[in-house]
Amino acid sequence: MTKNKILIVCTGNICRSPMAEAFLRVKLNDAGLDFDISSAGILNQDRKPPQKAIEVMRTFGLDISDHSSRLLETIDIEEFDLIFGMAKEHVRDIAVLAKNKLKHTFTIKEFVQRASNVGPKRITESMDDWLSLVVQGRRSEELLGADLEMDVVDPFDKGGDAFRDVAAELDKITSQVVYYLNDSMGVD
Amino acid sequence: MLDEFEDIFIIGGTGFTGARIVKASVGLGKNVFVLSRSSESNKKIRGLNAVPISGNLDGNDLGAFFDEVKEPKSTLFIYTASMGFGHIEGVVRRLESSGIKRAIFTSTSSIYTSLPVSSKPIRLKAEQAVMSSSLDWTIIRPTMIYGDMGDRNMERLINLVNKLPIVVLPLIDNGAALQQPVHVDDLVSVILTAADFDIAISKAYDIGGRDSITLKNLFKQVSETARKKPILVNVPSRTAASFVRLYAKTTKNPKLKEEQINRLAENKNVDISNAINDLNYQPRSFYDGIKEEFQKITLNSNIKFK
Repeated sequence: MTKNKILIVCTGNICRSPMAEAFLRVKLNDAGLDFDISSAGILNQDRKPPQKAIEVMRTFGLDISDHSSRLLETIDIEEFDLIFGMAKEHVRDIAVLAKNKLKHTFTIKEFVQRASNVGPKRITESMDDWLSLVVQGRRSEELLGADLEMDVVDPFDKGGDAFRDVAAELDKITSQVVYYLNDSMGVD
Repeated sequence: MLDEFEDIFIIGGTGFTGARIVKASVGLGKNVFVLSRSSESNKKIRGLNAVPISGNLDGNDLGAFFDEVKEPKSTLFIYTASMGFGHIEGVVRRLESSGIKRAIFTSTSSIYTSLPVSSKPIRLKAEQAVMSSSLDWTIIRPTMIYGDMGDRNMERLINLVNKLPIVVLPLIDNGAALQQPVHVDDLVSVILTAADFDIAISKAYDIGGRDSITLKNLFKQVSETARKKPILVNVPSRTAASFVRLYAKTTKNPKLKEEQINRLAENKNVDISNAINDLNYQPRSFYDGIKEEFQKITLNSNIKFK
């Protein structure tokens, strides 16, 4: 059976997306779920996370010091089953590169909110079928602009508190993501 | 409603705002067609996964642009090129005969200027042509646009402030004139959102940012973003205008016009309450917007960060 693949996208791929990637990888693994996780950004590549991001993640027992940023343009988006943006602009950026992936792409907060309406994925359900339910009813204008409610704020070039806040937020959100992806939670 | 429009036809889709409208429209899953006058523009448009259609506004050569419209009822038209060159009457005529009804036109709040600007009567006439058409039109009038890399206003200032060890900025008339810069993403959102509201049909909306701030505070906020404390020097507008007049007379291709100096001394704030009420317009604060632009410029550069 092929593994499901998740891509996480933010602006520079040095703060939010590698932090979310680290949380999600360990939590999916702990839940016994076999996913491939990777991340990318829309600007620049081969950059290391800021020291503040590395230090904050260490307090959660996670090491992102080896991470190096990748450009979204250089990866094959088609191979991913589920894509998370940290903000609405990333969802639109992904759709520009792979329009047919729009229905598989969400801001990470939007995904949790929408998944809560349909419940966790069922074991008999394909990822594609379940995501069709999750995305159902999404209107175009919901993807416009920026939204503090639905975007994870970029801590880049801000103080250590901003990194701590974002890490705490991502810790919580990624737990919710794992809950909805865990098909042993779904009721058949 | 926006979801009912599967196709979006755009004129002016390669400019700073236009390219972002194209990108956002493609990002919403729409089929986007853009008038293109060069192979360079074709490349840029294709890079955004939109379809270039050859034509040129100059000489009213709209070529096959409107012939590509398949389903006028499910097609939205957006005009985001300058309305200051006298093209609009021809565009409106072609639009009316294409069968497209819903059309959004991007004008500018500079039509309110009290200065004798040569393009003002052309712009007013253009708006009038739209208003008297049979289209379901909406006019959006943005004030100063900034945000994201490539904006002509703030990126230059950010780069200048970033480079200089000591920042000295001239302030025309003490920088007391009010500005209300609008972030390009907020502008793009309100342009596309207008298509979602019937209440916006046959209306013009002035669009600025959330905050109305003096030029002095604007300079201060940009400098603070770069963690610099600027030295602001007052320059009376008359003195600056005389200097620029002399500069323009003695230079082959002057990069600064007297009109630009006078515009800096003029209030450019607008009333955005109609857009807030009708279109649920919620622009970001200038501080948030400029911080975000600074983040992107830093991320995209080779500046080292901690």
